Amino acid sequence: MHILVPVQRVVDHNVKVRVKSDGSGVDTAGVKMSINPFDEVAVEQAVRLREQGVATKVTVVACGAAITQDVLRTGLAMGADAALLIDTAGAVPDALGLATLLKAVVAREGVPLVLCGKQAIDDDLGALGPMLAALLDWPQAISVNRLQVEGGALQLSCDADAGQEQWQLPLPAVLSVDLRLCDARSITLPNMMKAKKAAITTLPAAELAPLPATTATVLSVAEPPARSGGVKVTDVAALIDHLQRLPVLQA
Amino acid sequence: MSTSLDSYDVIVIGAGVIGCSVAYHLAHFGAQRVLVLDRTQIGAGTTSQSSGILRTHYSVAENVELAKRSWSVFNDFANYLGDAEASAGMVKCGYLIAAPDGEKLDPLRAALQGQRDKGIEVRLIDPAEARERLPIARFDDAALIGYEPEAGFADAYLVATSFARAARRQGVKIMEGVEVNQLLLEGGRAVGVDTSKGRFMAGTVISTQNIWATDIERWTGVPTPVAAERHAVLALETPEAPYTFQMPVYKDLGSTGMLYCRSYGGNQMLVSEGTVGETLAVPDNEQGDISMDYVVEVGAQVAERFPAYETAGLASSWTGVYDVTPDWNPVLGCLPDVPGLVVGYGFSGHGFKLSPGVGRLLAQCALGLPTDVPLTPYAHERFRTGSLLTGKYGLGAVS
Repeated sequence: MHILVPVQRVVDHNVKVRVKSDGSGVDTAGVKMSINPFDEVAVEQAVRLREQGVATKVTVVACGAAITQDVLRTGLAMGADAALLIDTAGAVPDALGLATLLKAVVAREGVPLVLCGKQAIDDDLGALGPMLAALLDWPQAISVNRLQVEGGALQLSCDADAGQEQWQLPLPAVLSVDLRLCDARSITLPNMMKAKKAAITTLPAAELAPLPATTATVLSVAEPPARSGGVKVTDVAALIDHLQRLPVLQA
Repeated sequence: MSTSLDSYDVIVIGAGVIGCSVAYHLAHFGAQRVLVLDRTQIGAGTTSQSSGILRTHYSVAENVELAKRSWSVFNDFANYLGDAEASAGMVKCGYLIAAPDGEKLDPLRAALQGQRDKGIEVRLIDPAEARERLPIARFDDAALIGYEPEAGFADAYLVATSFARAARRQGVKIMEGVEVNQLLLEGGRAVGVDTSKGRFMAGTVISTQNIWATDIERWTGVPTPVAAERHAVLALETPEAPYTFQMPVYKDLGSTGMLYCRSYGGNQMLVSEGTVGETLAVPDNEQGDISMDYVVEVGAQVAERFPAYETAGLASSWTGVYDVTPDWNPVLGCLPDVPGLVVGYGFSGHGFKLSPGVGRLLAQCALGLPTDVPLTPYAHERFRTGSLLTGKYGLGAVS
């Protein structure tokens, strides 16, 4: 079984995110970027399935400018067998656009299983997995925290409104994974060296699928308003007086 | 409008480990009204990125003296602060330093002798004993190995917050989230600060701003030769050869990057290069990128000394920033051109281990008390006169 793992390049989770002064978006210039932590878990799970003999090949795929290769190399260093970079010639697809491109990659690679992080830590949208499953018309599970493959079927545990649910899914399927699924391995120095030399295939987006028009436009991005300080009062009478004037207590 | 409430004896700008040590010592020496201001939070600047190494080995004699005095504070931290709960988080595992035949050999020999001259216990040991102490390393190429038992590493953030707590208990006021916009001058004399939370006046202002000390030049016009230099730190792990808390901190003068290593978390190795890093255009201690190329390069140096680490995994990595001066040593004391202003900046990556001693010195300087050691060698003047405190190992943080 060949597993496809889409990975995204995001602002590193340790970095304090800043908004560009013109409000057009988050400032990523000169900022440390890393593989989306949820996608890192997906890569780890896929590699483990190959090591267990359940899968035969793991391919990581990302969409973006050439610099995006660094997260693909992280995937290769973790043990992925192949890496694809989708080149959109500078266009930044939205979730639907990305899912459209990945649907074409799934067809091209003939994979029966897609493992992706359940959300990316930049927009926390969590849209990619569900949209891809919908376009492929494949079964899916979201926020998977436990997974076993038995006899060509997926036995898994995922989060649901009332708590954990135990599901069985047939293949082919799309799984959006949660951090609790497994802990990503530390990349070894020899594997880093191999990953540095490994070939990454670049696929022009035009060869995969026409991108649907983006449906949403970002008008502006701003930091949440700073919290105003609390108020100190001198005694209980002053406290009661203050409380009585709160908007929520007005008739 | 300024009221008597906004007037202090001393204002300290910067609540990192140096600033907190200064604040504590100001109160300890009797200063009544002390205010400390920090842009973010106590210890949240470069202090939080310190590797925490404690040793007295230096090639500059003045630093040996300061480090020795500081070590005695770290070694008795709770008593020193009069707080049974205070802790420096110290692991007293000793410090091992070695050089092969080559240009580092003579400076190493001289520095070790210099430590002995100051009464510090430091032994020359042979490769066999070095391997007993640090079994995961090879020493077959070592021409000289020094070992000081009274050394190790500690937690800079914990020390900063401990100094801050002790300072507050003595009445020092520490305000976080306050940006200092301007140093207020009257007739060329520092009289206070203008901040995002209003004006505060003081007879003396002490700047312990680390990489943000460039503000001093903006406020006073006095050249402030400090630059922000970013360095990467790696945490490596291999189950076959854990770096335990019993194993000493190790300084490898033979490696191209003059690596320093210590135990991290009890089984991982924290390692970083002790050479020149990446200079930043503006002061910023945000995390920087660490490329796979860089990790492979440092990993190769580590594997040379620690053979089992050839297949080590990268458990984590981060960057820290040094406030570097032209001779990799701090600028301490008064600025003759600006009466009322005392400075402490430019620790160039080795400030934490000197923080207790420096805190005492700057507090003494601010209060007009005799200083424990002469401050002249560290004076700002030295850049004009050329009597630099350049270390004998070349540019880098051993100094």
